[in-house]
Amino acid sequence: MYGVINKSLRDMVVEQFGEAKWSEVLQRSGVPDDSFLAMQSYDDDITYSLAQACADEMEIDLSDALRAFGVHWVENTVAKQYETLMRAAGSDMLSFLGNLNNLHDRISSTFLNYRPPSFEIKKDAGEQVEILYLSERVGLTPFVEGLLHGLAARFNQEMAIIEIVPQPVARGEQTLFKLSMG
Amino acid sequence: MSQSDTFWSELQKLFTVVGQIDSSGRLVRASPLLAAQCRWQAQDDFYFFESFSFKRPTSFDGRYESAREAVGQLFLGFNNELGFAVRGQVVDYSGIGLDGLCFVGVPWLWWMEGNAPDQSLTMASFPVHDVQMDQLFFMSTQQSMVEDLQALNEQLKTAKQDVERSNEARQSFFHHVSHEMRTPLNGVVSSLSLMRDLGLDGKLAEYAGLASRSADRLLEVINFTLESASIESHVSDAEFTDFSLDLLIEECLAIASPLVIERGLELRRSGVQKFARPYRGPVKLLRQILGNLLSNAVKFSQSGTITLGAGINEDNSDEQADIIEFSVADQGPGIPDEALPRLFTPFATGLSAETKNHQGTGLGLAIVQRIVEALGGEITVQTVLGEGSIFQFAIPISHAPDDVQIEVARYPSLASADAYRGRVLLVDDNETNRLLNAKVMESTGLDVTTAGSGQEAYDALAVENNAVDLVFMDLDMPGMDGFEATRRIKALPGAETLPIIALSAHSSARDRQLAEEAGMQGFLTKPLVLEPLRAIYTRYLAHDGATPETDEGSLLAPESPVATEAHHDSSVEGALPEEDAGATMTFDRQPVDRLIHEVGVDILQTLVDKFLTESAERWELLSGSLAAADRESAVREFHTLGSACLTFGITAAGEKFRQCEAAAIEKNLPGDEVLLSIAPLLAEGISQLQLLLSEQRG
Ligand code: HEM
Repeated sequence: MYGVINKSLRDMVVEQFGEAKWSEVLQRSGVPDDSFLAMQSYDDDITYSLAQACADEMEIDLSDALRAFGVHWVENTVAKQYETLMRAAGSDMLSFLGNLNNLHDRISSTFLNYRPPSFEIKKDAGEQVEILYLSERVGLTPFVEGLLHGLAARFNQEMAIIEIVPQPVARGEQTLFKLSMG
Repeated sequence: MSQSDTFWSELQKLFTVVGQIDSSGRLVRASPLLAAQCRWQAQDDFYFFESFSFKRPTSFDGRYESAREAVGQLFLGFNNELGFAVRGQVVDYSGIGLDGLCFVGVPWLWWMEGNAPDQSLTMASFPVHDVQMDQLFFMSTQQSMVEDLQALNEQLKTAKQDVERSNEARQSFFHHVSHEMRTPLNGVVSSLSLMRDLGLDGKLAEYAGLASRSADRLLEVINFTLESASIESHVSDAEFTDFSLDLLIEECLAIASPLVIERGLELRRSGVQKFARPYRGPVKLLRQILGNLLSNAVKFSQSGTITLGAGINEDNSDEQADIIEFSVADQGPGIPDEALPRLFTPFATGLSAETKNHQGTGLGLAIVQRIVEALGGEITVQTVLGEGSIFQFAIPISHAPDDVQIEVARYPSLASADAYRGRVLLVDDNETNRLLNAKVMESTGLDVTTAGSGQEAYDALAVENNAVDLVFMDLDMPGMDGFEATRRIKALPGAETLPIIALSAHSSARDRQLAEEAGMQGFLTKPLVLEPLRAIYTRYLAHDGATPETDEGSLLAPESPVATEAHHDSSVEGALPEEDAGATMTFDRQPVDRLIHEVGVDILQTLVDKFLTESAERWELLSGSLAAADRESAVREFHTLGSACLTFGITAAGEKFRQCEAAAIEKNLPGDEVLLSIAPLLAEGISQLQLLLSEQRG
């Protein structure tokens, strides 16, 4: 995953718990150093180890840690650094989700090792919305949960995740999110 | 749909900002984005080229004709009021039915990001192939990377400062502790040596010897630590002055010569290379290196010649500097193979006794090596057992401008401004005083010969009285004293008018009178101070164009400007030492500062070393005479030790010696227990003197 992701994870811990806590997380993760360059691609294992170490350090489940990270990514990192892009991608939650693939794609010409997720709006029937998340990676569904909550907050959108349905796939991960939007 | 309409709608797929402009410059058709951003409706008068300030192309002046000439070039234009900017090009599609000119492009995202942050662009505002989003993402990320790097840099800087600070703190703590250790240790060293002089025997002597050797070694280590801790700052802060290399070499030889003479060695400069040009460099450090190598050579040679060499290495392309090769060779015992590797690294293997026996502790060498390296050189040693060693190093030394005035304040020569010319005979039985005062006199350019007794002086003058212009005569000397010697000299043919100046530790009226009666022309109290000496020189010697003054006024009167009051004259008569010891300070740096000013700290150090050895001998003699109740010799030793101490600012001990001397003269000879009360004062005074000197040298 690109350094920008790992940096965001670090910022989350530092903002919420301080530098000392981060040092402990880092130490626990076994990742040798945290001077991530935003535009450099790092092994996914680094991101996973850091997330796992966060969970262990806070004594929470990995999925809770990933959820929190999803919220942080939308509310802090992206809002601070990439607000123009975010605004360009939509002014309400649904149109934003509709543009998200476009967004991930549009920024790809400077990234070589970049493997962004994709999202499909499966159903858009008033309050009931179904979003399919497709990824080459495994285990990030809770992260997407957090992202969705973060987006709902951003767009002042009432939203509840009714059901999360893992889809059977041979490679990567696909998850159907059944949402209720007020 | 007409062909032009189809073409128009196809254009909208490729570009989001599309406008058709007629030959008057008026917008006649616009894509939805352009229309919305410009708040344009069909039929509105909107003059496209005039509505934007175009930064590109630079040749474009806003007119339709000018736009036509710029077809195919990049257009970047903005309108502050609209908060909109465009990026694209002008094309001529009149052949396909779009009359006039067309502008095709996209919003200029970068301008809008900075100048109209509230704009409502969406991803749909940009065609998919447009790279501005990439660019934006890249730039935003880049900015955060720069911030990261700056933060990292800050961290590194503070970390570095922290390290430096803690290093400094450690250094200064180290330095402080070493200093603190040195003072009491000096006391230990001196007391031990004084204790041994009291004549211990058997086991006691053995233990005292062991203790004193260990203390010496410890002192050496501490001195090394202190010095080596500050080498880097020494070198980097070293003052670069213009100097004459010849003079520097002469000076180093002069500094080493007392020790060389004492050890019965010979000292010379090899070759005849005279350095014609002035140089600019860290003279103090060079002096320290050469001084150290020379004293090392002296220390370990039992016999033979020590040779200091310096020459220019011609294999050098630098026009601004010469590479000077220095060498110090001795004919000492040589250095055994096994000692060679650790010659320059004293702490690497510890200071083993055997190293000490072979080639000293090498502590001085370690320092020399570090300085040489810091100056861009390398020091090497060649040695043959039983034949001697040569230490060599070469360092670049910059040229000074040819017309530079070399300062010779530290070691004045005849060339210096207030130089005097003439031969002076200095008569004093105390070797330290003799050497010291000779240096003081030489520092003003005089040619000084010395005599150790009245008889010696008389003999010298009886042969060649004409060659001497001025005599300084100590009054208190064993055998033929100063008065007697003066009377005899004055009786020599041709010597009636030879000026003879009395040197005395006391400035009593009686001594002055006796001096005058003996035929002396002046009277100076010891320790000698440059100013009154100059007055004497000015009167009796030629100096810079002037001939000696002829005024024969007496210099013997107490109010005379040259007859300074004795500095430490004690008026306590017959009082025993214990009674007023507390009144005097152990050490007074004033006279030492003055000496440093007059002869330079290095020479002074040599003299102090000399004084220390000599006073140890005197002490032994004194304790012998006290034990034997030999009053006459005790008076002499009290006197000598007293005046030497006062010369070097060791006030309390000096005064005590004086009091004892006075008491002894009054037939009130103290017992040898008095030495026990003087010993600590002496030890403390000596250690303070050493401390001051090492500070001045450091
Ligand atoms: C301007 C805003 C955004 C930027 C610049 C951005 C950029 C990125 C980047 C660089 C990665 C790493 C991909 C890799 O290293 O292979 C990534 C991953 C991801 N992004 Fe975004 N993103 C943005 C917004 C969002 C939003 C709002 C969502 C919400 C759904 C989202 C969902 C994800 C997910 C789920 C991943 C994990 C990759 C995976 O599942 O395989 N992103 N994004």
